[in-house]
Amino acid sequence: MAEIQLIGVGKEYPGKVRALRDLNIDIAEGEFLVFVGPSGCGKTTALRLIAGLERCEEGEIRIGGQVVNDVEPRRRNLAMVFQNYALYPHMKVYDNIAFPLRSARLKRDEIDRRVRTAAAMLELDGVLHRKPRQLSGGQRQRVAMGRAIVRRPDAFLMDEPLSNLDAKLRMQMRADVVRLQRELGVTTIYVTHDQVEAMTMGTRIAVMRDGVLQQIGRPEEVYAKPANMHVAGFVGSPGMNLMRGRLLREGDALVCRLGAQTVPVPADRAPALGPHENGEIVVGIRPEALVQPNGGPPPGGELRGEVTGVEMLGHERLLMLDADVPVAVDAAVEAAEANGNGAAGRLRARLPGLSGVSMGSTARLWFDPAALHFFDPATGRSVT
Amino acid sequence: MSGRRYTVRSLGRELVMIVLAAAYGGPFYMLVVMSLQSKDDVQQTPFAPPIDDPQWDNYATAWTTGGAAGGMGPAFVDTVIITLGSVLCLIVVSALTGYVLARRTSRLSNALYLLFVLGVTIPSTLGLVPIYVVMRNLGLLGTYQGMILLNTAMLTPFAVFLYTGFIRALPREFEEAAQMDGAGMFGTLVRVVLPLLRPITATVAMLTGLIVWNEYFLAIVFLAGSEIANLPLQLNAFVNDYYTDWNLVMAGAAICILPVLVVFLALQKQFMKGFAGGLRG
Repeated sequence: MAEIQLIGVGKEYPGKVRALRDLNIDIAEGEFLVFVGPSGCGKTTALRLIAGLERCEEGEIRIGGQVVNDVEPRRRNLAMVFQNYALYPHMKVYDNIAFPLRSARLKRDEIDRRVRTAAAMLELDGVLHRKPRQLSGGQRQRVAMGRAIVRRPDAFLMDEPLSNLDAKLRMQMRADVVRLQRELGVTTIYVTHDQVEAMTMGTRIAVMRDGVLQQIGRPEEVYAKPANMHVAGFVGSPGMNLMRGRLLREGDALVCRLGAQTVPVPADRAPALGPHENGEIVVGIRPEALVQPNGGPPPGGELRGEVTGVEMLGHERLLMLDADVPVAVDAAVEAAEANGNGAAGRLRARLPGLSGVSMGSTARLWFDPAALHFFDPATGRSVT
Repeated sequence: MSGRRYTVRSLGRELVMIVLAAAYGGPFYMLVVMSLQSKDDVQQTPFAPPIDDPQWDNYATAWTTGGAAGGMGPAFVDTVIITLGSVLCLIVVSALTGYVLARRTSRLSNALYLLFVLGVTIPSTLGLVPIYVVMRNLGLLGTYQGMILLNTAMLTPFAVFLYTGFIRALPREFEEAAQMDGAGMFGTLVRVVLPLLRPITATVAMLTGLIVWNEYFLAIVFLAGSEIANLPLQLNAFVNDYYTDWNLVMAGAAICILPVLVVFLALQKQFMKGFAGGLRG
């Protein structure tokens, strides 16, 4: 086990393609860090730099306190799980798992013992004599894991290892990977474009965009306090609704005018939002913070809109609303689309599965103003 | 689904296939028939199968008599030595060259690759005279080493071209995984890369082996006057100015073809994979 530090790490590919910019991260011993972001955001580049598969010419990478910029991948004592598993097709499962041990010139007995222990741990005992092409996707994935753990490396590097599995298997493997990591306590760096995977697996997540680290923190922190519009739009399923409005003063209180609708601004946010008074502001609200009026006292905020789409998911319904509110675009749209949330131009709400809403009707949705997020439209950064 | 599966089109397709099969199979039929006929019969009734009295002796005669080598037997041994030597050298040289050319993305390697492609397109006969002079000065005329060197040099561009194309389509992840698993450059090459090249190696071995096995022009130039003869050269010994033993020629030709057929049948699965260029992990 080892801690890993990235200090001012950058990467530019031939043709002036900048993949990574000034990346600074300390990954603690035993930590499970997830790099997450849309494709082309630099997350895989970061992983490959740590692995040594790409040369690090800007900044410093330290493993266990030692600078490894010029150290060959095989001497970094890291194990990697590739997206397509990269199992050696001409070798049996046993030989695939034994490969790193044979490279390390371990004794035959020791190799056999370790391979069988890893195989038992991953329930691969019955397929050790098979070739990779005779295995299912899930089994191949586990062989790749076996090859990684058998060597007892300082850290695991995983490059979208679950992306080739079907949804059900992916969920199961997610839990298995986390359990294995906890059991072994090995520092793990995991790359994914799937924010659900990131949120459920990582002790911390690092959200990337265009080669720049947007935010790093515990999943609940990143969800609750997104640092900017991109993170707000990317994290969450679906991502946060982002609306463009004007901040106005009404009496003693601040309100936000969103098209023809007005929403209150909590008093405790007023000091931070002061500089934006009479100016533009981006207001964010999570789809799950919107609820249907339930007969109780209104919590303070309300948004109305025509229902333009309903997706029934069983336990909940995903509502698409045309609220006639200018939607904040750019980063948010991009993030929402990368997140698979589709039409970012509309307001989305997550309601319980049985809520009676029909297409074309006007829905009134309540929310607690404390759930609002505010972003500077010029920089995209959070202002509260 | 249509109810009628056998249509006029199917019949037409089958007829075309039958004609094609006959066009390819006909010469084989003649080869076998004529190789088993007597000296006289082969002149008079060359198409009639010698059911009553097949002359198996023709094979023994062709195997042991005639030419500089003294029969198809010694020529067979010479050809095996030359072919195996050439193919082995070709595989070692071309696999390593192709690997470097495919994996290095520098301008130099691109330029070198183009040079190899050029080597495929330029007819080797253009350089025959200088090659002959060099070979003579090195004392390599009429020797196994000379023929192996010559065939290797002549066919390297073609083999490098095949290897480079295959390796370029091969995911780098296997090599990267080996690196991460602690294998050095040599270990990665020997334990991971070379085994993955098996399909293309079979293709290269088959194609170049066939070319070397059937080589006549280079053999007649570079083996002339020596005791070494390959099979095509030896086959020519049965063809005289005034009289040709067609039954021996055909028996000799059958001896030439048989090993090639056996090797092809043994390697055909790998051979097809190499052409398809695919590799499933």
